[in-house]
Amino acid sequence: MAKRIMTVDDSASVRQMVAMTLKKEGYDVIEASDGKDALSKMSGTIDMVITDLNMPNLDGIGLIKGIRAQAAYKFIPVVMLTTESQAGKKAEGKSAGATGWIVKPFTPDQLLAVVKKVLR
Amino acid sequence: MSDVDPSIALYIEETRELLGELEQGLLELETNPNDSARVDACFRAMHTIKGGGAMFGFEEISRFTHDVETVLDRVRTGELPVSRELLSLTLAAKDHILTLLEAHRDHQDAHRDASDKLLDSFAAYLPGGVATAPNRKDDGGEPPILRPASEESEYACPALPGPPSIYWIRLRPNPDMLLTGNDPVRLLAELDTMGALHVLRHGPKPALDSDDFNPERVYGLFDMLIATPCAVDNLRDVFIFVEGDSEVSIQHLHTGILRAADLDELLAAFKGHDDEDLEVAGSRLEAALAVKLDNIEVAKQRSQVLKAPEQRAAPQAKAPPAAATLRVDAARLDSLVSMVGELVILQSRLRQAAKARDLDAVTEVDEDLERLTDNLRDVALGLRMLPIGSVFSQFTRLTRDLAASLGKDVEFAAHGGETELDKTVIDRIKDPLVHLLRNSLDHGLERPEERQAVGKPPQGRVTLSANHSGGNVVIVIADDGRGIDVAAVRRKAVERGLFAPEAEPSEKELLDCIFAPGFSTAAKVSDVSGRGVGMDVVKKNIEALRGTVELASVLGQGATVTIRLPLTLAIIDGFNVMVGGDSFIVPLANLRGFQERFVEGQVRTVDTIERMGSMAPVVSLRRLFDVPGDQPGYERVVITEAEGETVGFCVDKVIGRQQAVIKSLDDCYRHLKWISGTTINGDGSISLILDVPQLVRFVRGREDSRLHAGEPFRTLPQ
Amino acid sequence: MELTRLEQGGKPVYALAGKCTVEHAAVLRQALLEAVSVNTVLTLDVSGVEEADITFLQLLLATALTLEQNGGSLRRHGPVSPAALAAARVSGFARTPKLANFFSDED
Repeated sequence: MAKRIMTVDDSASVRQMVAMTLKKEGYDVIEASDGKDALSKMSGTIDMVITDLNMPNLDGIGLIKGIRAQAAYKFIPVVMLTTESQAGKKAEGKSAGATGWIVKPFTPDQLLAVVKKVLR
Repeated sequence: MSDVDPSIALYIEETRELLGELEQGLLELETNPNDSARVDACFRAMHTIKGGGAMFGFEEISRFTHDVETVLDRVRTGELPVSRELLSLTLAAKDHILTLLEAHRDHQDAHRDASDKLLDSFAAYLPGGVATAPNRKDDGGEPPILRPASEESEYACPALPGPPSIYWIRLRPNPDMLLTGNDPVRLLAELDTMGALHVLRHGPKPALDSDDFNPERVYGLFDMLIATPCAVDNLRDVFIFVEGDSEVSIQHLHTGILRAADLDELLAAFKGHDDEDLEVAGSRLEAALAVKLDNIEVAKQRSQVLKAPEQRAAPQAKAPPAAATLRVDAARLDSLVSMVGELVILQSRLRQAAKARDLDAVTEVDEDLERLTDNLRDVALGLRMLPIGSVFSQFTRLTRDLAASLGKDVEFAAHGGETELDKTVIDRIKDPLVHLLRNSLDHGLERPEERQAVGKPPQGRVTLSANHSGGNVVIVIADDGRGIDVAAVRRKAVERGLFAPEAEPSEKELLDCIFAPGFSTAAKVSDVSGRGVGMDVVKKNIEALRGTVELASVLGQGATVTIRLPLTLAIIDGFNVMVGGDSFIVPLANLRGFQERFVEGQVRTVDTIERMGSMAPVVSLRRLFDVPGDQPGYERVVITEAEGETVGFCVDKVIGRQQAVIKSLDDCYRHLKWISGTTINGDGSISLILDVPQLVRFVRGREDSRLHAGEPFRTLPQ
Repeated sequence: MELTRLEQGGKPVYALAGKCTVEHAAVLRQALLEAVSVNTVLTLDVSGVEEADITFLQLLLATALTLEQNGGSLRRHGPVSPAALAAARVSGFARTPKLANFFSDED
């Protein structure tokens, strides 16, 4: 069964790039436009979440905390998309329970490398 | 990069929207500098633009945005106050990003100097006042956090030249590592792909029945030796997500090759010493290695096939031409899909009813289908509807800049931005609105001192509003300036021969003169307006959208321009007329009335008819379109107006008012003049929709050539 | 994850199958505790393990330890599934003295 990955980003272009890259590799993809949207779509099997940090409504840190608070998703890999200027955010994300991060800009290959690295 | 290409168009569209939001946000900050939510939104927009710029090949955007983002971040964290200068600078940056966005991705370097100039200004707002944007050429591109595996390498990382190295790696996982979605086994599995890995797992081993055992925690530590041709950075990358939380140490032990059994023996030196710190453990390992090396014949140095690191990816593919895309509210799409579902159901009901020859059932389906069709049409048309606010928001900036250049103080307010209009109408109404706003600011509003002299507040007011009225959208631009001097207009109109000196035109007729070509009462020509070109173009553009424009003014108190536009260009309200067996639609917007005429003998394509005391040209549609059939002696004349001119069309019969869904002509019929489209009637027949402005121009051309050549009309060659 | 008690030649065999990951670690521990409480020698069939992470390996080690403390041992029936074997191999668990026998001749 294909692994299901949720991509969360308020930028539709980044979301689309992530979704297309993952779908091409055979993953199922769920898209969400911000943390709040993502939490409302968290149900059933979700094997991994890839989330932006700066988002309206609920940011990436809040989303990570929200994911970890649910028993079903307590241990799933959650990767955040960061920029090099967000060193502090990275630490904050880690302590909220993020598995890892991908530094923007990234190529499809880099994205897949991280997905393969953290996805069981 | 082929995965990326389809996203580029989306990035461009998205960035345009973000820039629009950014501008609006900046302008709102000008009036309310302490709105932290607004600052946040501006920062987020810049952040998203920057991130996407780098991802989708707009490197100059990414480079340029870097410092701008930093400055906005400082504003966000309260390190910098919001100042007018900073807002102006950021607005300029926004414009520059738009330029970069519109420049071809391969030619962004051409705008580098402009970027650097702006960045120099931004530097003052950076910590230390120094620009930090990387010089792209020296930067070497994106920092790869994970190197793609080289295909030539035996392992999942590029091989370095020279003999392999042996590294000692110690991982003491944070007991709560699993709570971050990491797993030591997965890390070690990744490490296993980078060389010959030997692992000793030691340290605490809780028993199954121990109260201290929490199966969701990680116990013990892993000491590893790996013989690898890869760089130490590749090994570090394995642990990049856990270092800091977990103890990770990677040390070079030996260059060269050791037997697998020797590596296992070396690891065994750690057994029972899991509490030792790194330094002690390290010296223990060194000692074991020294003993080992003494006892080992130094293995022959095997030459390694050197592998060149993977070539950098081929240059970026060219950006595909931007496809025309439109964002559609998901709810509208959903309802469209559900209606199509209903349609399918109706179709099967119809089939059953037809099979059973059940007329009642067919009638029922017909009723349901009618309702569904109406809804479907509304929703389908709604897909192209956009709020006009997207255009309005650009005007805030426009009036701000304009007022500054004219030395005027203006309060601009826009209302009804949520009013929806067809996208094509919105795209084409922008220029006329810009022109009208410029007129208001330049001619309408007085300078602050003039205003005070006549007892008005120094700050002028221009409002732009939109709302629905009937089947139309009404856009009103109103100012509280000096208004239009009707007497001056009259003098000018007489001067230009638009009225006889003794004529007594109404105020409305006089104000309509302002829309005449080349008409201007402005004493001087400014940068902004006053050249007397434009108002006629404004009227023409609005009429091309099947809209109307009207002017009203109270001297000393201001002027108001009212524009009425159809909601959509896809449906037209018209009158159906017949010539022989052919059916035509005259757009209602152009219709002014009906007359009749009696004809005898040869009918000319263009003739004249008396209308309200003056002569108006009339066109015989029968001759123009070569409609077969006998010329009747009595004809109805449909009087229309476009571009300020009246033209009548001679037809056989007037059928009545009809709402027509326009089907535009295929490209191969584009050369057909006088027809703007077709529509399919209820009975399946086709009506041609008359292009009234084109026909007016045709008649004007005929009259001109007659005047100049002094020749009588010839009938049109068919 | 599923732990099923089967009879194999008159002897009980516990077949462990499915995803043996942290999500199921607490449940698996409970199941193993029950198995350990009624068997001195516990025979596990891990051929049906589809996913294995650190928690699975730690549970095996903890089970072996407890059985040893009770004077018994952990034994294996059938082959080790590829997922379980890979996890044990790369992490050194396959060479841990208490599990070396369990994973032997498969490594």
